[in-house]
This record gives sequence, C-alpha cells and structure tokens, in this order.
Amino acid sequence: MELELRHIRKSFGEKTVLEDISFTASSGRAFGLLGRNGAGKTTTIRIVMDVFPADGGEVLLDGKPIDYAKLGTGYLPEERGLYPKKKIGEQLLYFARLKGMNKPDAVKAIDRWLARLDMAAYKDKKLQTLSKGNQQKIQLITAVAHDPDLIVLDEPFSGLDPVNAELLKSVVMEEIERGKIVLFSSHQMNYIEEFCDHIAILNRGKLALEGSLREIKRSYPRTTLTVVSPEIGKIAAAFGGEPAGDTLTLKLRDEDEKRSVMQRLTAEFELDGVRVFEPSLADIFVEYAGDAT
Amino acid sequence: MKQFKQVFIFEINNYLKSKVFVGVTLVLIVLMAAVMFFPRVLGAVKGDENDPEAADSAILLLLDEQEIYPEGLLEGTITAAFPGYSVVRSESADALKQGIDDGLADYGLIVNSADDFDFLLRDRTLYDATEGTLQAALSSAKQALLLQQAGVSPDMAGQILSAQVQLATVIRGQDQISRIAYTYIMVYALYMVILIYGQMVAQSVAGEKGSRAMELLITTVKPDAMIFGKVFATCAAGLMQLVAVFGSAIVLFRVNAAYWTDVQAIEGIFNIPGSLLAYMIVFFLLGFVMYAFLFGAVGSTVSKPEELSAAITPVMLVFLAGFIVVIFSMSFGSVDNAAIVALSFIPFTSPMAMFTRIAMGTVPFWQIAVCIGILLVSVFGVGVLAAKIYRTGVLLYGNKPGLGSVIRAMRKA
Repeated sequence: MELELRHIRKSFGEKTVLEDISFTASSGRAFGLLGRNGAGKTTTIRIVMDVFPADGGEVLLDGKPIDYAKLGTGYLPEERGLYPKKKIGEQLLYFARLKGMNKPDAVKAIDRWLARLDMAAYKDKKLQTLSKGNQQKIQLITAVAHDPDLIVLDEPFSGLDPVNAELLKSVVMEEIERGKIVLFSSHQMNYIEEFCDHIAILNRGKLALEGSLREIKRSYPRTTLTVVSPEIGKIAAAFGGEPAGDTLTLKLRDEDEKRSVMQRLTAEFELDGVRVFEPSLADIFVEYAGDAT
Repeated sequence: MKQFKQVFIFEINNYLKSKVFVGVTLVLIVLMAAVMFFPRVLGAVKGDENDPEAADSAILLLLDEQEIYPEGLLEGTITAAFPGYSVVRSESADALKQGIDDGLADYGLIVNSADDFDFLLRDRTLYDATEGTLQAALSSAKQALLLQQAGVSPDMAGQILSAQVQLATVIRGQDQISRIAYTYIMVYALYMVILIYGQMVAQSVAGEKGSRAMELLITTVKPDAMIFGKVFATCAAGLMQLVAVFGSAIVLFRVNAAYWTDVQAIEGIFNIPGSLLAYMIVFFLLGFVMYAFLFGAVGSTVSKPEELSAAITPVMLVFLAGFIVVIFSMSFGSVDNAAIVALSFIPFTSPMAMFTRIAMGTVPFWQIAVCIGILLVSVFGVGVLAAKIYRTGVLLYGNKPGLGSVIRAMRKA
C-alpha cells in the first residue's frame, strides 16, 4: 500500500498553514514527518486522518482517493489524554468499538495488547491512577488495538523511560514488519534516524525536503573526512584543521582528492578510523528547518 | 449511525454509573416519599384529634348582663354557625374571664350593646377562622333583632335572613386557580432540567477537551455522531430521572390519596388533564434537545472546564429572561400579554411560554401548531449549527471563551 499526498493546501482564515505538500509513504516502511513547532505537522496529520479536508490537493491510497470507511487508521496524538476517571478496560473497549470492532474481538485484542505492554494488571484501574508513561502505553493501545493499516505516531517516545522506549520500539518494528504504513512525527532525531527510511521536513507550511534518508545523506558532497587517530596532533599539523579530542574533520578540495588523502593517511599515520563524513539527520534538520532558510 | 449508538451507550452509561446521578435521583424520590406520606404520618401522630367532631367542639361562655338580645337568639345563631359549640351563660365578666383562663371554656362573648361585642379567647392559632364566622353570625343576630323590633315575627325574620340565591360559575376557558400549581411546577421543572442537563452536556464536552481525549476522539468519531450521541444520551438520562422522580411521586400520591383530600392545591397537581401532559412532554423534549445542542456547541469552544461558566452565560441569560417573563405573567394571571405571546413563538423561549399559555389560557390551535412547527425546524437547525460549531470548536484551544469565539467557530465551519 502507498499513501500519497499530492499538492496539499490548507489555510485557516487568512493564515496559510500548508502550501503544496506532497510526499509518499509506503507500507512496510516507516515515514518520518519532521518540522519545528508550528511547521504544519499536526495539520498535515489531521488532513491524512480526515479530521478536516484540505483546501486543495489530494490524499490517495494506491492512487485512489481514500475510503476512510474501509481504511483502518490509528493515531497517537502528541497531546495525550483519555478519560481520567474511567476504567482502562472500559475506555479501551469504547475506542475499539468506535473504530468498528465487534465486542468479542475488541475484548480479545485489548487483552492481548495489555499483556504485550505489561499492563494487564491495570485493566480495572482508573486511568488517572497511572504514571504518565503507563498512561501513554494505554494511549498507544487505542492507536493499534483495532489493527489499522495506517498508524500515525506523534512524538511517541516523549515521556517514556528507556525500558518502555525499547518496548515501544519493538512494537513499532513489529507493526512495520507486518506491512503497516507507519507515519512518525518527532523532534527526537535519533529515533527517526533509527526507524525511518523516508522523511519529509516541513518548514513554515512548505515542504523543505522529502525523500529517502540514505539518498539525502549521500547527496551531500563527499568532500569531508572524519579521521580518528592517537596521533591526531601530527595529522592536524600535516593537513591543517583543529582536532577535537582524537578526532579531526578534514575538508578536501574536491572528491578526486579523497583517494590520495586516504592512502597517505594510512601509509604515514597510525589510525583508529577514517571515513567520509555523512551529515546526521539533526544536521540536515537544522539546515532545512532552521531559521536560515 | 453505528458510532452514534456507541457514543450514546457510552454516555448514558456514564450517567447511570455515576454515583452523583443515582444519588440525586434516590434523594429526590425519598423527598417525594416524605412529602407524600406527610399527612398520613401527621394523622397517625395526632390520632383521634383528627376526628372532625372532636376537633370542632368548643364551649363558649356568653354574658349579656343587660339582656339586650331576647333569650335564645344569640345561642341559636351561634350554634347555627358553629354546630359543635355549646353556649353557656355566664354570671359575670370576671367569672367568664376566669373560665377561659382556667381552660374550662374555649371562648367568651360579652355583649356590651346591640352592636358592640367583646370576643375573648386564650391563644389565637394561625388558622383560627372563628372570628370571621362569629362576626357574620352576630351581624345576622343583630339583623334578626332589628326585624323583631320592627314587628316581624321571629319565623319570618329567620326566613328573610336565610334567603339565598344560587350562583353557578361556568368557566368556558381555563380555570387559572386550579391550574397555576402544576403549571408552575412544570415550568419550573422545565427550567431546572434544561439548565442542569444542558450544563452537563457542556461539561462533558469541555471535559473531553480539557483532558485532551478530544484529540483522539476527533480522529475516531465523526463530530456529528459525537454531539448527537451526547445530546440524546443526556436527554434520555434526564427523562429517566424525571420519570423516576415524578413517577414515584404519582404512585406515592395514589397510595396516600385518602389523606390528601383536605389539601386541594396538592390534589389539583395530580389531576393534570392528559392533553396537557402530552403538550408538556412535547415542549419538554423539544426545548431540552435544542438547549442541549446549544450547550454542547458552547462547551466545544472552551479549552478547559474552568472556562465554561463564562462561555455559557449568554445562553443562560436568554433562557433566564424567558423564564422571568413567563413566571411574572403567570403570577399576574395575565398569560395573554404581548410579551408572552411573542415569546411563545421564539424557539428559545416558546417551550415555557407556549406551555404556560396553553395551560392557563385559551390558545387557538393554529398557534400551537405554528409554535411546534417553528420549534421542530429550530431544533433541527440548531442541531446542524451545533454540529458545525462543534466540528470546529473541538480543534480550538487557547481561545478566550465567549460569544466571539462561538461566532468565529461558526464562520470557519
């Protein structure tokens, strides 16, 4: 399955929130939607989730307009919150039923997910008695219990301790492997980098960058080397530049020089490592979503 | 439709499982029971005092030192007016006073002249009607005396004085006296229930926004299913409570009906004509649903429940203004004044105003039909509008509540 947004536009009153947004997310792969606060991520997600229509453009599934009655969607909103005074089992059942599940299936799925997330003991507790992290796990169940084809996770890792973050990671990996379309939105670049093959960066309602993360990284000029060596001082003296610890970033004049420089380094110095520098997602993000652009 | 059903079931269960809702209903039923059993309990405590003959018997001491009235005339008129009383002649003013002070007699009557009497009694109770009746009896005694002095025979005088005519009242319209009690109760119930349950709808919507459950709900449920489910669940809960409370009141009244025969006002309440009850239910449902939609829409425009009271004030004021006009018109007995007639065609006030007019006046049927027609259209319109406001309102956070944000939400929708 392929979810495609084509030239999406949206304004609220005078304010243009989205301008010509296009990207494609495929099943079996995670898609990262990045952007600073107010860039238009939530609005994009709400259009994808059919909360309101776009002013222009199309949201397509496998090339056809989405039939939301058939496509199951799951959503973990950034602003978490369910019914604080209701029992967990009751509200999970309510949401699963609203998603169209029949009662026996819903009960089965909820029990399975509660067990999967180590929350089975809390089924008859009121939500407000749980810690923030545990409430978030309950909220995750509302997004996945009905086995949706499209899962949208907005800042899924915020507020989770490392153990729960690992648990969530494995759950997300499982869903991706099961062929779901998973749409991530996050500020935590390390998680996006870990999961997402494709990204889109929004900046002030416009698409700043879209594509395969690997290709984006490779598209950067490969003219910077990262050298790690116990003799970093000598290398710096020979090639110029300021070492940081035992690492030196070496700028080349052009890509043709790479081979000869690497040969010279291995021949003359003791090395722990040398490789072509690739920008991290955080670097890319700052470049495309920072104020400079 | 499927989602509407789910929301409806969820919301109505919220009410039925709420300790407050169940508690209030039970307390109201117990209160009704206490009121309905009151005369029976009172009767049991009073015991034989309740016997009418025993209650009305009394001894009256009479002193007519100058013998102004012929023997037997005063006794006759007094015992005619108070069948249970025995009239005893007293020797002197002091003996008479002493008799009353000592409790040997209940009342004393001293004749100073033909038209000047002193009435003596120990304690005057709240509902003592003796004075008025006595005054009338003594006036007729004086008239009899004058007639006798003018040469009319005692028999003839008696006939003249007891001459009576029949005046039968034929009410072609409504008898306001007999209807004001239950009209008042119903208008008041309409007012209270719409306010209380309307606010519950607003509270429930604002609560979902405050807890941010709305973020998930709007991506899960169609807003129309959400607001319709909520409004109708609240109406159903309100109706269940009303039926429970008033139903038990009616049952308890029937059980105790024999003890209520003295209190006509209460008896009157339970003799509501069926047609009026039907109108009551129609106006009740329409008014209730319309206001519940309005309150739900307003609830969707605030960010947290704390902001709610400011936001619903305009709606409450409109409703309160209508209520005040209706209650004043009712109290002045003028249910056909221009204000109430106008209000009976404005959908936001017509349930109360038109009901009052039907109950206490005579309203042409076409007016009732037009009023219900306008109401039906308005309920539908307000429902559509409320769903529109709700659809936009649920996504608004951080706006200052009030008319402004409601109108803004409407324009965006």
